[in-house]
Amino acid sequence: MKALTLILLLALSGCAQHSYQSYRLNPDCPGSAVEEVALLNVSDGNTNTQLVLHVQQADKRAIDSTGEIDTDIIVALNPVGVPLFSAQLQQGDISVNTAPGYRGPDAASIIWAYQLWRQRDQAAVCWPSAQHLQVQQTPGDLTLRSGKRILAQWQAQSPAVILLPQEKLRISVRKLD
Amino acid sequence: MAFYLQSLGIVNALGNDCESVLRNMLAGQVPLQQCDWVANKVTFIAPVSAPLLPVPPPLYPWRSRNLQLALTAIEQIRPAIQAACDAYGADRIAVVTGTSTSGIGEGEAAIAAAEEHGQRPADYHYRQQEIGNLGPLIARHLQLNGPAYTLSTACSSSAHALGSARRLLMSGLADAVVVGGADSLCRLTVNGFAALESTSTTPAAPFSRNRNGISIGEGAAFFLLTRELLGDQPEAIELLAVGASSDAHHISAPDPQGLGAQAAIAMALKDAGVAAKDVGYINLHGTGTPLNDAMEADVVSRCFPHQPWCSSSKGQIGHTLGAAGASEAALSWLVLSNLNSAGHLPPHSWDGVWDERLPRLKLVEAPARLPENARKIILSNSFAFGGNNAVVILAGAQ
Repeated sequence: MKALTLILLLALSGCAQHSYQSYRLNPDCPGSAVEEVALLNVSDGNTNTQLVLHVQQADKRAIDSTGEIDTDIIVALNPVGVPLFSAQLQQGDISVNTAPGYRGPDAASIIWAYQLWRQRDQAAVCWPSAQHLQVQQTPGDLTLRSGKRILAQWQAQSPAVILLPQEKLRISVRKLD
Repeated sequence: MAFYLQSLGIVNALGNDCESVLRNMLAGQVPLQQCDWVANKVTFIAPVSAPLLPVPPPLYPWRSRNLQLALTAIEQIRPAIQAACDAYGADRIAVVTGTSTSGIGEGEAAIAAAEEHGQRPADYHYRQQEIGNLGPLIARHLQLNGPAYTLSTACSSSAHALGSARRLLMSGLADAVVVGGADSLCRLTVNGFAALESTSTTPAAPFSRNRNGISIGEGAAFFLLTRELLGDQPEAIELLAVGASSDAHHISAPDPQGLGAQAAIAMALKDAGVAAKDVGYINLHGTGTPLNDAMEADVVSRCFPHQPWCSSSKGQIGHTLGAAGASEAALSWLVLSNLNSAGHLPPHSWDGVWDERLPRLKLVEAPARLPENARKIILSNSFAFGGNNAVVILAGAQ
């Protein structure tokens, strides 16, 4: 009986979790053609993690022999230039590689939050409802939900900040010239 | 782009604020004390005798003398840090620190207790001596949310911290940086240097024919580094450049030709946009070891043929190791500050017997001042274990 309860609890907790890595962006989501460097301050309420994110479009031929697939590469460094994780965004899929020594907040969550922040004006296009995600967008507010749970929130009154309530993360973004 | 070291907090064997340190430094005070920590050998150390601030309750689990030294310096510049917070927000203020021994003294005390009582004290934890903690702890104490980290490159740690802080401002990763270093005396370090036959049996006498090693000290120095002047009466002292290099020569000894040191000096001068002849005073690394002083005298005479004033502070505050780069930049800062409007230079404390085997340097022995007919530019050397070199250049107000 105890084992059954335990299995049930584990199954429920598994159901309750979500993984940003499992979500796909709409491949038609307009990408950012420009290279970009941004400073992210990720706070979980106790600790702050600073990340320098460098976004660039990969050489298509290096990624795909047909040379037709757009791919964004995002590399996250710490403030003294140590690579912490990287991500590849290709046709709506995201793959994240994390350095073995990285102990910070979930890299995939940060990448997705950053993508949502970058594409907040096209959120309804980029986050298709087929994935059980609902996008609520007004001129001053953007909320991404899965069922009743708020996954991400952005508000115009704090335009640099995106919140991930499930992860209890507050991410502020500052573009660097 | 200008980088202002606009406020300074300092504590070392000479005092625990800017005024007392400057006064005692210019008076030529030598607060070195005999030390019996090394078996069968006399050494000298430069302990801080002034009271230190206690570690506040939120940081108590990380308590150490090193942290107390840092906090004692930091609290002196809290108003300036607050002004930066008001101007930029806590997210935009970084903390970059240098340290090397950090809280090893707390580990030593725990081991001593274990030997006596059979177990370590229940309230001892390794985190008290973790080198990487200093920067994040200061950020936590000051409630700053920008990048916070610690560099540990032995005796050049906090000089490199100044360079790292400057780069944070250049790259836009921060708008202000609390930057400096702290290091505390402990038996391990004194015995370690003694095992290398590097501790002096007399008060350290850099560049003396009789020199036979270093006197280890302790202290902390922290600046607020910004791109613009903030708050009430900031000092317009500029951090013009920090040059860095590595000898790649030997695990502990410097390259006798000093090519790495020379490269760091050249890099700093180039980055600062000043000519060697513009340097009015050099705060020498001047440890008092035979090898360092021979190399440094050679390099300085080669790079600065105009013979600027020179002195080493290690005869007064000892070698403060990871705090040395920031502490000696801080003494240079005091020379340039409004507290020293006459521009008096720090005396070279030694036994007065030049080593004639070395190229002669123009040491500050009698009262001397910075040249008045040009912008006041000071260069401070830090040459560390493993041949890692850092050279800091400061300039007085335009």
